[in-house]
Amino acid sequence: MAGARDRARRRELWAKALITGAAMAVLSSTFLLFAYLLWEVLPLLRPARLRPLETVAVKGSVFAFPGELPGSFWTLSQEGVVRVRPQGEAVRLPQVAPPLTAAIADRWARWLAVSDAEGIKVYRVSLRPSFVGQERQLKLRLSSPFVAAATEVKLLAVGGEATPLVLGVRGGVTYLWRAQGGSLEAVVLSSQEGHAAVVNEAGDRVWLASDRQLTVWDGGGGRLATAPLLAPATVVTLLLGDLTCLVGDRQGNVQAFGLFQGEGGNFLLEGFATFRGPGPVLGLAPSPRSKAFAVLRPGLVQVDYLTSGKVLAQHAVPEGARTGLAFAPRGERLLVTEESGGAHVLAADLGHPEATLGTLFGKVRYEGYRNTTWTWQSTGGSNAFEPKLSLVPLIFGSFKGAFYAMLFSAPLAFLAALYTSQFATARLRQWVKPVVELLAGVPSVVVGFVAALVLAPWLSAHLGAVLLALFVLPVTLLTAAWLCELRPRPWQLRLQERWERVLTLGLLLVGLGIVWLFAPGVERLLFPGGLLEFLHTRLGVSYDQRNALVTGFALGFAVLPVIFTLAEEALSNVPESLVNAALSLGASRARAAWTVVVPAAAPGLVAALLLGFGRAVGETMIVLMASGNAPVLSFSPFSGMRTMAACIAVELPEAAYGETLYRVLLLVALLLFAFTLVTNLLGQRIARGLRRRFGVAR
Amino acid sequence: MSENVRFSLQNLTCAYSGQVVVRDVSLDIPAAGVTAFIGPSGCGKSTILRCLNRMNDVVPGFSLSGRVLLDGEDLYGDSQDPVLIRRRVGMVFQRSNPFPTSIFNNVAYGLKLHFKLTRAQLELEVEQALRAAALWDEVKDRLQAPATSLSGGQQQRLCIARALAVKPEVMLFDEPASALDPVATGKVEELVMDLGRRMTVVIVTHNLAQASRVADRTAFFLRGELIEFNRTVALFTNPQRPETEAYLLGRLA
Ligand SMILES: Nc1ncnc2c1ncn2[C@@H]1O[C@H](COP(=O)(O)OP(=O)(O)OP(=O)(O)O)[C@@H](O)[C@H]1O
Ligand SMILES: [Mg+2]
Repeated sequence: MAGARDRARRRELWAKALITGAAMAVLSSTFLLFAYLLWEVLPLLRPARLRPLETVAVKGSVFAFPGELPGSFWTLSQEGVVRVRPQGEAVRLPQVAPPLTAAIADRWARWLAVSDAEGIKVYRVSLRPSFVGQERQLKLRLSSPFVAAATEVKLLAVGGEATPLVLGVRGGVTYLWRAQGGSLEAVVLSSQEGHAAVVNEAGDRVWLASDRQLTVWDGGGGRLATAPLLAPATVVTLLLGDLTCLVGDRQGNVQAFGLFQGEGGNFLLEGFATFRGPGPVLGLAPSPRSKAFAVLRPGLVQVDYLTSGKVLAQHAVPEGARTGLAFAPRGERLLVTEESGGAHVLAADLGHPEATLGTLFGKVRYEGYRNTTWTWQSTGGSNAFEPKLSLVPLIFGSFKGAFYAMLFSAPLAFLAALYTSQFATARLRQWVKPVVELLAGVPSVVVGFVAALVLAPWLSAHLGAVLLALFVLPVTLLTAAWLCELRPRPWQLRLQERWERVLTLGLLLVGLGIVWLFAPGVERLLFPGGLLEFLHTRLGVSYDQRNALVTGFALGFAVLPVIFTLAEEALSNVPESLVNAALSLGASRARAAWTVVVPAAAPGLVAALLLGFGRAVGETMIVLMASGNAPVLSFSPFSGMRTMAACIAVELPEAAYGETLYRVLLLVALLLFAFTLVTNLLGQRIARGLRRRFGVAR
Repeated sequence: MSENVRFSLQNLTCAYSGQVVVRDVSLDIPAAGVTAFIGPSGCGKSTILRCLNRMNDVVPGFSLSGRVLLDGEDLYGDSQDPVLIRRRVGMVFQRSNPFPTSIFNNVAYGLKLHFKLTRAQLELEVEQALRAAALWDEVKDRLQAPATSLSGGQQQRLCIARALAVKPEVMLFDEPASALDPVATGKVEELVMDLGRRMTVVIVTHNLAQASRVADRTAFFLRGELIEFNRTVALFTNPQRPETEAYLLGRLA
């Protein structure tokens, strides 16, 4: 006896522990998921930092450039000897005639131009890591020089693709040297003295800044466009991708220019941003990784970001640092050289400058764009591509898809729930609920697949008929309702119901038949060239085959059971006694449903809509397949969208761990998570309040 | 009976899904005064009462034969609209069932349904109905409060006011006080008697004392059949049938 009771108690304890444990597990895994997402997203906020690594003496060198390996760089001495640090390999420039009076390199140090006793010599430099035994070392290779017999030249720039272009000033005149075989031929570029210049990687654009203007030339010396400057230029460089030219001047401004092609093929040089700071600009270095660049001013090195216009980081350097500024090939180190012979190596951790509050949510003018936009374009063809990470098109897309889904499913689910709970016979009700639950069980891949491969092409072929049906069907339904009202009411409820059902279904079929028969004729009559053609040419509306209508329909199909089930529950939980009260006051059954049941169930209906909306926003597979995934910002029912969920599904597998895109996608996931959590909690709260209002009794 | 007849039941037989629960009841309910239906639980009182305003229409499986006349018109005739009938024949249920909205809106519901009234007219009608249900003084300061904030007795009187607002000719009460305490019951009984002086009132009750207090006439039912119908005093003091006597003495449960 006592043993049995003990056993029962023990079983109860076990059951309780199990249930509590399961609940805790669910709760804590939700919390852990949230914490994990937050953990991965928070580094987006990490500020950029410049940190001194070492200072090296490079006495007697005319040039220094950071190398690809950690701690490595190379220098060029006045005697024409290149030294690669740290392993100390020394190579003499071929055919050099020391002493060197000047040396310059292009932004990535692929071309090296020196001015020696005989004239100008240009070398192709290749400095690549390679294995020497077990050790990775930098291997230096120098080509034989392109030569120009011009002395006393102030070198401005070198660059080009297969053969070099050199800019320099001699006697107040600016020359351009182009390769002709192994030697360089001079062209007069400008009769004025240029202060700074840069050549693009393709070797077909030369940017030259003089006292008061910036001029762009093509590779043959033809002038393309000119723009005024704020102050005499000191430094010119091109950002990664060669679309934006930065000009630093004596007053401390850094102006950003873009070259745009106008209507008639002519070029326009447009300044679109200015970064201000104290003192003259002494050096500019583009990051090899992003649209960030370093600016050297007296006593200060700064890293700015073009798109956001922000100063990412800054660091003090000795006042005497005034000759060189360059990023290492991977962008993780910055080398600042002094005239006095010291080189400061800084670790440059730029953080995630592409993802700021401004770029994620605000309108941004990207490089090469003439207007500000909200754009999501995370990857591009080249490594110079700037990721455009505006979340606005994604959030918009999610809400657009959910909106169209609700447009289709909410009225249908609501009316079906109202009918089932208020008017259907018990027999019909027993049928409807399992069928709807069956609908809820259809895998979303299948829904998406059918929507994308069957519905989408069908809709584009029969758009006219569908639009016509949108007008005809409500009319037939209203007619059916009117006819039902006209008929005298036999008091037996069942008879009346059956008759109404037959009439309504019959009229619906007739309506559909009418649409089917006449839609092609009507379309031909109204739009001789076809409806899609009309939309495109007359209204300027483009029709994507996978569009909001298709998505809304498919997504609506998925959320309809959710809304229906909850709405039906809310409606049939309204106590029967309230309906009876309304009936006894002389309300018809429909009137009672509309004026008493629906208001009483309103919180539950709102909860149903909320939960349906949450489901629609979070749904992935269907939108992935049916929406076309183009991140456009158009509310048109004929254009597609990219939702947050689909975007994560498409891009997360491609995103490298820890990179900006990866973290931004997890931010999207966090937003999605937070949104569905909030809608669910809100919906459940409202539903619970409703249940309390009526108690358990009917 | 020589008086004005309001309801005339002729061979009324009711069934739920074919199961007969009211058998061959014939009964004339006079226009004046209060008529009470008494009888043991399940004998079909509520079923008959609901026949008087066709509230049974919405019950699945319900069917009836025989006739129910209201002022000589067949309530179940083909041209009758149950909605109009229920406007003429108001009903109050056993459990108070106010709508989950304000006191004012509860009373105004039927008015809004049937009449186009200005706000001022509506307020006037609501006040009259609440006065008629002897509730006005208790709620006049909180008409916008939720109806569920009232006490049980007040809620029941609110339901009476709600029914009275549409100016019915007949009021049906189905055990209106069975869920109330003695004080609230007294108030409802007073109200029923008061209404009986102005309109036809039919009340179903389990409480024999209540029937003897409020009703001018009483009908006694047993297993779906009408056993006896007489003036209340006569039926209680001098029952004609042995079943009636047994029930009154508490020997039939
Ligand atoms: N909706 C219904 N469906 C099926 N049977 C019903 C329904 N309503 C009532 N009945 C049956 O009809 C018979 C009469 O019911 P009715 O409610 O009229 O009795 P009553 O006299 O009012 O009883 P009570 O005093 O307990 O309220 C009962 O046997 C009951 O089981
Ligand atoms: Mg009853």
